Amino acid sequence: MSLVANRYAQALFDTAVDKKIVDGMYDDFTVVIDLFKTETSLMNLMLTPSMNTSEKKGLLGRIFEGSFNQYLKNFVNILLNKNRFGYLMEIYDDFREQCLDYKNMVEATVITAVPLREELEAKLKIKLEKRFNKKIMLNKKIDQSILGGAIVYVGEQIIDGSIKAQLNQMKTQMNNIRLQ
Amino acid sequence: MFEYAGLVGIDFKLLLATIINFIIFFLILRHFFYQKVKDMIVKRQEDIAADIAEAEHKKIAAKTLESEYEAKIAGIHEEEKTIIREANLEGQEQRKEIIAQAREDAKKIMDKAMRELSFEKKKAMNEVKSNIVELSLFATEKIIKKAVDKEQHEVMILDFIDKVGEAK
Repeated sequence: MSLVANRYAQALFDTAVDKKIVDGMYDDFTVVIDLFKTETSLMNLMLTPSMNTSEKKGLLGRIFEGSFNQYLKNFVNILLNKNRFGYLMEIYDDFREQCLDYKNMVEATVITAVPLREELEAKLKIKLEKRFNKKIMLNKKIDQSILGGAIVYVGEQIIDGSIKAQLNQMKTQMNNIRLQ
Repeated sequence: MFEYAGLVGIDFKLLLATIINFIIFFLILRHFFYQKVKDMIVKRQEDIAADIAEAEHKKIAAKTLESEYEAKIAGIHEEEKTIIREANLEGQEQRKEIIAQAREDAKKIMDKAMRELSFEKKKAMNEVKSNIVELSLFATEKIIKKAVDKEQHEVMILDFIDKVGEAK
């Protein structure tokens, strides 16, 4: 994470806390980022030097017209003015971390070989919240290559209970047996 | 008959004249050459005596030299025998050393070959083992993918969830 992104994220977060709109700001910012992630051509257009800043602002104004948070709009305009739009994704990541930390939340990702039923998801969430003593924001992913069980990523921690991991462990143990 | 007798008769006058001539000739020779011839003969005798003495001397010297050389040759023979004996001993020592070295080298080569053989054997066995492990796990994965149904998946997930709660 760069220092520039951290400073901008901190400024936006402080504003959100000050104005008591942390959740709203987070949701709106997530929508913006999702849009730029799916529409890569739009992101490239915003970064191209051949288009001037006022044109970029006009384009963004039309896209985010309506109920979008005014502070967020202003913030994006500042990034364009200061020629820092390229840091948008990093700023979002830093901002999200601060928001989650502020709300005593942590983001977790669970990978399973089959879709996770809501009942099991809720159970897992409770267990993880108890274990990490934080609210869990759970993302679900399906990966059949894990064969069975589940893998959970929480921050930098990995809890691997997949069949694939057990097979790999078995493979390591079997490979460690030296034949005479 | 008388003619023949006259041809072989003695002329005493002539005989006398011849004798006188001879005596005169002898005296002249004696007067002029006797001493010189005598001196020459004496000198020649002395030379011969000197030569004989020198020859004797040389003979003695030769004898001495011969003895010396014989002694030397005997010494050389002895020395030669000693050298040959020493050379033989040295040769035997070298032979022993060469044989010992050759045995040691052969042992080292043998040991190295055995080690390499053992290593290659282990390597091959471990490769075979790795292949067996790979194939076994590949087959296991295939079986799990086919055999495990949704309910069994949920049981495994549930088991994982329980363990997440237990472990810290």
